[in-house]
Amino acid sequence: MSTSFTTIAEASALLAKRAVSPVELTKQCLAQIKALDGTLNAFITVTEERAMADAKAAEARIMASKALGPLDGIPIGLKDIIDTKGILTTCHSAQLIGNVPDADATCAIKLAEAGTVLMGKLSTHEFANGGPSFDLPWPPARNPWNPDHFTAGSSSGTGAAVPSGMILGGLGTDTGGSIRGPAALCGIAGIKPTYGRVSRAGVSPAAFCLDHIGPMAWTSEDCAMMLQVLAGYDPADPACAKVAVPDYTAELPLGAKGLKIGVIHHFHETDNKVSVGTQKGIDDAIATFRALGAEIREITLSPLQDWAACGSIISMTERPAAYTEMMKHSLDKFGERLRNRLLMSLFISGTDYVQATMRRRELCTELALAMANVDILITAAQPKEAPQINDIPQWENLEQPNFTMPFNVSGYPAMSICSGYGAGGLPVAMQLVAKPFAEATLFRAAHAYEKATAWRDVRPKLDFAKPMAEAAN
Amino acid sequence: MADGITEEQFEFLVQRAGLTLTPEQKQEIMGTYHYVAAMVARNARPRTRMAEPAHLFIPGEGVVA
Repeated sequence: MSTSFTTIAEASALLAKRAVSPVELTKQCLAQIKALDGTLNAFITVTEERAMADAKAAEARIMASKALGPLDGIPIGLKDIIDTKGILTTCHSAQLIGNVPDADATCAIKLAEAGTVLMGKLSTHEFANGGPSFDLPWPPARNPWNPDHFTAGSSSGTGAAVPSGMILGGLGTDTGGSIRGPAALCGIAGIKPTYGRVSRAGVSPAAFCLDHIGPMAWTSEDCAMMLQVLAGYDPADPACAKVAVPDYTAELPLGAKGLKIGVIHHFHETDNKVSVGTQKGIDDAIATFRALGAEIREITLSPLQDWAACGSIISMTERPAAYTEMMKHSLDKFGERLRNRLLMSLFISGTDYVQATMRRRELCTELALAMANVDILITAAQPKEAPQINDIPQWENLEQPNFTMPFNVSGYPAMSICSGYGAGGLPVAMQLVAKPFAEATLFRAAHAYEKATAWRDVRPKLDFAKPMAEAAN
Repeated sequence: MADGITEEQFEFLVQRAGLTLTPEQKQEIMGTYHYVAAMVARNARPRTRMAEPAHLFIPGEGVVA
């Protein structure tokens, strides 16, 4: 099998002992892109020239025993709402066709300084909101487990590119679940870190006080390795926290023994009842954690609908504030779904918004009290396996509350990991949550689960593969 | 927030925002009013006048509370 299907941790070890070269690894990822992206649409822009230059530079450092760290020579991708100097950055929108930033986002700089190889810019829902859309200049990403199915969003390209071996890891952003949703439906790991843990500077805003940047990769260990590079204070982001960055891989060997895990049963069994496959994945995971020596408790919070209402009113108010000029002067350049969502803000008054932030404070207090005596929470990440991409109702997000918004409202770190395979062989997932800045504990729990189960041994078959040129015809 | 919204009320909101919408766009958005009204109602519960919003800051820190 191609080394583009190794994890970041495995590839890093192979690179360090010179068993594989960054150039070879990059060429294999480029081959996957050329074979698959005509179907999966994971990329807006493939930066082949930049990737080969990055790979050759990494190879020279490694051969000179001057590697920059464990990510040196690792092929990655960036969601296309992340500014990249001299590289097209579109936010997947006709509004920004031809937009080439003159500076890198902080997160792009950090990954480059760690020696990663930039493979390109990844598809998203338009301005990280509202997809899937079929009226944009680029098609929506498709699920590598079955391209007739949805990836979820908005970090849809990252979700599609990792399991198909186009990249080993990538960045997503998450305002209401946009890292954890695609991670769940595409069968990978994705973490939304604590609010303020990773700088948002240079990343196109969605809703300022709910926006997070985070890694997506095949395993939680890979996410830990990426977050190690991304985390830290940045004065360019007014919300970035001055909190020391721990060693995120240090706790991985500790296993789950002794962890206190709370299960929010009512979120996924009553408030928004999940599919049989998703429920089985969560139930089996609880049994696994118990067998590993964790202590399991039940946690009750306000209904999921309360968290969704709070987060949605804040999100729906803040999103248009970033795009007022576009709305006034080029409204019709937005795709229909995003345009409609932005226009719903017309109904929200200033008082409505402040009431939502008051509710936010109440809900955050409630969560802090509920987590006083537990280390980790478990609930669903998505209600079911990936639906058909053509069957996503425009207002689905308003019909049922999602499982991810509570942790954008609270800013707590939350992660989606694969918990098995359900109907049609499509992945199912669960969500793990930790206390603020306790990402290391989150990685510890997720890693213990992944090591105790066989889900990380299964990759999508990718038997739909056809060359990009053939797909274009 | 009322259960429904009239065309005149919606037209005022559109004009206040400085937007120009087609009749079709207006109809589409007016049809979503109930979603927003339900969420606003969930957030707006009885509170004392001392209730604090989440958007506070600590001078000198620049970090959202």
